[in-house]
Order: sequence, then structure tokens, then C-alpha cells
Amino acid sequence: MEKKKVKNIFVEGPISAAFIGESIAKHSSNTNIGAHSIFLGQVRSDVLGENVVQSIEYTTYAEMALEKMAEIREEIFAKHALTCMHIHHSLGIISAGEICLFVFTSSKRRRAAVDACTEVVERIKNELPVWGKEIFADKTHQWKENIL
Amino acid sequence: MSSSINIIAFGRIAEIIGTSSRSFPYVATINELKEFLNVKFPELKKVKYAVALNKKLITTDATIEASANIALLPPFSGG
Repeated sequence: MEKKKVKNIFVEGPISAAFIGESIAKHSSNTNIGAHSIFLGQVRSDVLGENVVQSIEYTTYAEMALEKMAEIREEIFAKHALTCMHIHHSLGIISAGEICLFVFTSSKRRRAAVDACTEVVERIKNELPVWGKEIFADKTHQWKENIL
Repeated sequence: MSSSINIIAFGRIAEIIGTSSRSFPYVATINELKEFLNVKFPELKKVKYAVALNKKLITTDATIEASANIALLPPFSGG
């Protein structure tokens, strides 16, 4: 019943390449899996006039976000033949170039993993109450808005 | 005796109301709350935000119960 649990997807700080590597390695014991799909979100250094984004500070309404994520997870599992799905989203200050979102889907055959991964990334961006504050080199900031 | 409602706010909305959590005099509906907030914080009229009542987004109007959890949510920008 893995898909029904309310899991905490949030981690403080950036997601390391080592963590991502270990997550992949953990799946080698499940030989029913034939395909993995991975999405990594990286903090982009947007340029606005004279200002350059140095980092993004992420905050969330955790209770609502985790409830929503559990609902999305259930719908994704109902729609796609997934073996498993793991999601990690950073909170706090993440510097440009660091990873802030890690979505990892696995299935017997590739289509389910690829489609579910794409779909869940879109739903995370559109439906989870998470906010990114883009912090510039001069310490001013602006609030990011996801483009649908 | 006056009752009040607790409101939490995030992102740009928290900046406008000056805090991420505070209480306001009780109003019976979400629309009345929005009208009250727009008068108290005119800046709010210029920004987009959604209201969550007990962790669910409110799309029309709704009645506010005494123990309701109300959150003011600016446009999402996760991921």
C-alpha cells in the first residue's frame, strides 16, 4: 500500500548528486523494473535587467502540500502502471546550479515511467502550495510565478 | 464578546500583511474576509491570491466556521 501513505517530500537544502545516485542504486534489487524516468529541477540564474538571480528560497504550506501530493500520487498510480515513485522537493535557500526537485518513477516498461514522470512534474508545479523567492546579487528579491 | 479568526499567509501576501500568521475579527464568509482584507491592505487588490479553507482551495465563496484554518496563497512557484 505504498501509494496511500502520506510521505514527506520536503528536504531542507539542495538535493545532492550523491543522494540521486544512491536512490538509483537502491532499485537494483527490484528486477521487475525495466525502466526509470528521472526529472531534476535546477535553480536557474535568470537575468532581469541588471539583476541576476543568485538563489531561490523555497517555502511551503506543508500540511496542504503533503495532503495534495498524496492525492496526486494516488491518481498517478491509478493511471500509470508504476512500480514506484519518489519525490523530493527542496526548502530553504538553494543556489543557482543546485538541484531543487527530484522526481523518480519506475515501471516494468518505459512508457508508464516516462508519462508518469512528466505528468507528476506538471502537477507539482501547478498544484502544490510552494513558493520560490528569487534572490538577486544585490539582496533584493522577487516572487517567482510558474507559467502554466 | 468578540471572536476572531486566525489566518496564515505565504510569500508575497505575508509580506503585504506584514506577518505569516495573525488573527482578525470574525467574518462569516470568505468573500467578506476578502473585502475586509482589501480595505485593511489596499496592496492586496493589486496581487493575485487564492484562499484555502481547511487546506482546500476555495473557488467560489464559503462559510467560515469558528475553528476554520484559513490560508492566503499567492500563485504557486514550486519545482
